[in-house]
Amino acid sequence: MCNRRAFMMLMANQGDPWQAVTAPDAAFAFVPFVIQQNGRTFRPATTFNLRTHANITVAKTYYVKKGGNDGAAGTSWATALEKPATAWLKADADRVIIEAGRYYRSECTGLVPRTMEVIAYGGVVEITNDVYNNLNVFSLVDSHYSTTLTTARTLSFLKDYTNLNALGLPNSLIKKTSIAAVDATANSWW
Amino acid sequence: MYVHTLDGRAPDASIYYHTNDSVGGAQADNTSVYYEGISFRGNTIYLRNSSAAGGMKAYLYNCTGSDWIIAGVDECIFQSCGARGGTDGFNYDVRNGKITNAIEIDCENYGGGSTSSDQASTSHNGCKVVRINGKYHDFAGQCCAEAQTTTRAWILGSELYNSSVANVGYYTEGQAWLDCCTIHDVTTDLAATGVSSVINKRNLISGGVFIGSGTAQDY
Repeated sequence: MCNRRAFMMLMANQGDPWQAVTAPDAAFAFVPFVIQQNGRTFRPATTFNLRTHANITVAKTYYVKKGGNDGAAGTSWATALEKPATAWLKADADRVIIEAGRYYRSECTGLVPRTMEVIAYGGVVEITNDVYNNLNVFSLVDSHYSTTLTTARTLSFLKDYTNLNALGLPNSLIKKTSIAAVDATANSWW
Repeated sequence: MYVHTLDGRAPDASIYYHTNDSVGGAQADNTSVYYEGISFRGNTIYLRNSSAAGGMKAYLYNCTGSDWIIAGVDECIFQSCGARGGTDGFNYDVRNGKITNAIEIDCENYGGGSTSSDQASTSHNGCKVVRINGKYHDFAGQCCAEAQTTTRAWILGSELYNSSVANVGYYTEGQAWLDCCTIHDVTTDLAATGVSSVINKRNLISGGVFIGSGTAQDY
């Protein structure tokens, strides 16, 4: 019976186009799953699931949404927090679920300090160092617009998501060193 | 701040005003973090240990960013992720005496770098990296590169192309194994620097141009 089972498994395996690959060097012993090959394509064995592999025990979940309240409990959508960082800096946070949307620098400052899942809900969550929410109203002056930041920060670069390159990525505005140069050059800033 | 948009419109939310701060990320010892569906936009994203105690593990599913620095992470797995723009895409290194062991599954890094040392995926100082079914293209530096003799890379079923400044598909100073990879639209397909550097390859599709003091051989 055992021989018959082994034979059947062998035959079934021979029909499977996905075959296990042997690591070429002991340096890769850390790979936690079997790598399978089908022609020129490779994959982890289908039993591998990244979230399961992370093996994070979740006792406390916090929710974050646009228009949330950092003074609320944060333990349901009804009491969701406003800032992702408020959630992931909670001392008892094991999981943070964030509503899709763009979150600014003032909402995302601080590195995750403990074991945790951080998961987007309902679409892509943008964690940014963007300070758009800290800009005062722009005023038109000659050919450029002028504004100030409500909180002093050093700006590094600006990207225009209506001006995409051939790869579909936003082009950066060119950084100038004078107001006159900005005024004279479209797609620039200082 | 003074802004002159391309089309003369008033600056609006479609422009991202990035500071020089890092973006999100995690730093801790004996910690596991799992991210899903997050797009990090701005500067560097750090995933790293805090001290020689180490024990940091990082798992990312369906995430994107620009400049990932992963340092001293015992196990880092990117699945269906990518780097867009920035300088280096995925950059693995040592921190507090701990190397990074990294795996990339179905990742695509493109559209970054401005110098020959800005790569789509790169490891350093004895880190180990496995790249599975990746696409690495349209970077200024080599599409993928490993630095220092102790670094090891195993690259399976991946496509490397368009390296605008370095014009090199794959570069190593350590040892690498390339299985069923495709390299195209570069002047130099493979480069191995240092007499101990070795690129082991099989079923490679490329222009066949190899340079360097190391070795490229079939296995």
